[in-house]
Amino acid sequence: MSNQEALSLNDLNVAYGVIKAVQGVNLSVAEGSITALIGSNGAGKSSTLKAVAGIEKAAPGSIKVYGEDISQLQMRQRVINHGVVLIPEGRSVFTTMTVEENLMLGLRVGDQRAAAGHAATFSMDEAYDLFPVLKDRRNGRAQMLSGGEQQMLAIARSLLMSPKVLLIDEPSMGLAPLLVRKIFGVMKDVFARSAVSVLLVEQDTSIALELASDAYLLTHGEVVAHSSSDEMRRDSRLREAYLGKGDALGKTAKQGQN
Amino acid sequence: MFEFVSYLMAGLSLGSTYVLIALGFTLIFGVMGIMNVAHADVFMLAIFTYLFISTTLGLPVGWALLIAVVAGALAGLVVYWAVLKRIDKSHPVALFVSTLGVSYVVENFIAKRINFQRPSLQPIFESDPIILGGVVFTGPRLLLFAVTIVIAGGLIIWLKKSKTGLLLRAVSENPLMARVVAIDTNRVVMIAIAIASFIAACGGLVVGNATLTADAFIANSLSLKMFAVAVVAGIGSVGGATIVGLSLGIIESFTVAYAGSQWQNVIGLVAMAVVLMVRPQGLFGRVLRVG
Amino acid sequence: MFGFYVDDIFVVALTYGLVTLGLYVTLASGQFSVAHASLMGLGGYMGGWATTQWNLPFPIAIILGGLAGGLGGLLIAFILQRTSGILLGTVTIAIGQSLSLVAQNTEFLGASQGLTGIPLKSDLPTATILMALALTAVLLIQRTSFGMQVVAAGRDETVARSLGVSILGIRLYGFGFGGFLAGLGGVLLAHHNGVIDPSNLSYAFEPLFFIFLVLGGYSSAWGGVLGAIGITWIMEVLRFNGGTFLFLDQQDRPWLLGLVLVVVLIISPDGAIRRKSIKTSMATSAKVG
Repeated sequence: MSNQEALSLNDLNVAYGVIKAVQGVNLSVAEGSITALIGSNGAGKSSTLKAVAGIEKAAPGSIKVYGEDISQLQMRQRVINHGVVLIPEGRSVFTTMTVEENLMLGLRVGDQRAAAGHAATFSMDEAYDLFPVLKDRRNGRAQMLSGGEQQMLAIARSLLMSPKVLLIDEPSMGLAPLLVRKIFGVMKDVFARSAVSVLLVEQDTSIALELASDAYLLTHGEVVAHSSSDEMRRDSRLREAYLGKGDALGKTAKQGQN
Repeated sequence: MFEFVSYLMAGLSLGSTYVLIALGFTLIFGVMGIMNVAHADVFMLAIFTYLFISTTLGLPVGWALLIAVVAGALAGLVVYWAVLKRIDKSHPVALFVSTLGVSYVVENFIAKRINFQRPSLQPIFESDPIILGGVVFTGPRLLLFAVTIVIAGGLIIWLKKSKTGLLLRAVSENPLMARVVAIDTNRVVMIAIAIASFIAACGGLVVGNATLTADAFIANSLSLKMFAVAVVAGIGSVGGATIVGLSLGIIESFTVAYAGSQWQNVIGLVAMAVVLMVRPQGLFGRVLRVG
Repeated sequence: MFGFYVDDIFVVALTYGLVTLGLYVTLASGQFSVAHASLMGLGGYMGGWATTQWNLPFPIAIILGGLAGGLGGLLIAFILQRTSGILLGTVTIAIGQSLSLVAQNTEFLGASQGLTGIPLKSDLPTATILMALALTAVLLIQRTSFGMQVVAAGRDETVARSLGVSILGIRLYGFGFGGFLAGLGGVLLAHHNGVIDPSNLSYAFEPLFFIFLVLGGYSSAWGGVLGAIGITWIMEVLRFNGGTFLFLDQQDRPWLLGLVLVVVLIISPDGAIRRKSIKTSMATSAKVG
């Protein structure tokens, strides 16, 4: 695994009118690693992710994928030419379509990327092997899947798109922590194998620190801390970030052990 | 029995008209999220184009039909490119009013060209009526119904089975997610508009063939039904629009027969109001459009 | 006052002005209804009925017509209380068309011919007084705290809700008062033309009022009124050239005006009808983190 920077953000700013959601964020994600953006609600985590995906405008700021600046590109170009794939929070599957149709939409992108010269990393069969439950339900409507299964579907679809940089917004939202851990346990190998780099945004700090190897703490749109997950776990500023919600980190860590 | 069947037939003709115009409208609404009031005018444009090409220019019927249909499809695209595309989605009211404006412009422009008259046409497709069990089925009406079934059926199958149909359904359900999977939403919208306008143009021609008049302001009475069918069926639901459209026609036909013609145009409205109060996503709409 | 011809044009202009004012009131309160042309017709039918069938004096007919328009508006507001935005607009179009078609088929309302023989009572003094009263009412209401809340709600529904403003109250004002004004215009129209028919109930004229409002100035009560008066006059004046300009003549006026409306909307959609929907406001606040 090389230590190339798959994704690097330099002085990223995102504003909604006069509201500055993200201010001067610098961060980088090493190839094949999983990096987490944590912080309380309103800290600017989602906005950062959306700026990288291309939903929001980064003004000013640079977004580099393997050294190439994508900040001026349309979302579609980011996906096809640079493999920047977003898994939005909440409803990120097409519920009126079947499981297979959802996956087809992902595969379509993978094929387009392959045609543009980027190696395909995933086939439909591999996706079904990874998540057998999807195979069982392949002709069923996505609406019928449970929350966890929908998340699996979203991930499988994203993998079919041959991602290089995977952006995940709140993977644990609405799911039991055990399930999230299980899914990601499987995913970690896949990511490492295919050199997929992940930037995820998480509200639940303890899960974030379990899944990721690196974490950036955001408060009011700025990065206030960055280190490896282990160090973060021991950092008291994290507790401060949760503004007197008690020993939030200690509590959730305990719950996590159950 | 005889009466029942003839009311039913009349209802199916009426309903076919509604379906043909509502299909395109609901397609556009599904894919773009806007209610294009001017859609009904494509219907009208097709018949006037046909008239112009065949009478004023004197071209043979086949050519006139072809040009009329293509012109209709193009008209929709032109309106999209010239107007709809240029008003950002974040101003839904301005977008809506612009469709009102376009409709007003087109209707009055055509009306002026024909001096605010209502020309009549020669039938385009004629055939001897079929008489079954004492009931007369006129050629044009049968054609209207047949064309409707073919178009509606074709559209439904295409949406379900084809690749582009899948893309269209994706954009309809969730435009943001569609962008996330790198779908070129602009291209999909254009395809949808072209199809929708094509259907409306075909509709205008077969209905013109059956009614033998051309009215520049037909949209004013038709669009009521267009809205009603689309709203009652549910956003973007093509199969639903077909069922609801035909049903509305049949219900109206029987209402006129047994209760008087003044109630005909209230049914659609009432159905619409009820659905909006009780089940806003429509009878067949599965999910309130996201975004 | 100025001679019959000029008086007459002013009466028509002020009539349109009243309806446009009604449109302004409804839109400014944030309700998107395009039923004013129909409510105008409704007022016209009511007023015409009052003078021809019940032999009531003109002023009473005026009030009744206004009330008819207002009640019509309130009814719409009630039925559609759970709908808003474009869907609402669409339904109001449908209502208008429906009314028109129903009237066409109803015998006691004169079917397609409508009500005829309405006394020609609309004169300049009456029209001017009505307009003055209406404008004053609107402007005064806007200065009250209720009025300011309405304007705020019109600009941004989220703000309105967070201020605890009664949405129902705003809707009642927007639809009810807006409809009332349209109804007033209708009575004037009926007693100017001597006749009111189903076409006056249809939606067809609505874009005209939008044109007046958008071109005259959408953000103030005066705007729509001035727009109506101004454009009516310009159209009249243009009639003088034998009415022709290049290859265009009077009958081209409608579509030309419509074209201007569309162009204005493309160039300045934000200005045209200024209102942030709940969605955009919520999206904005949700995006922050």
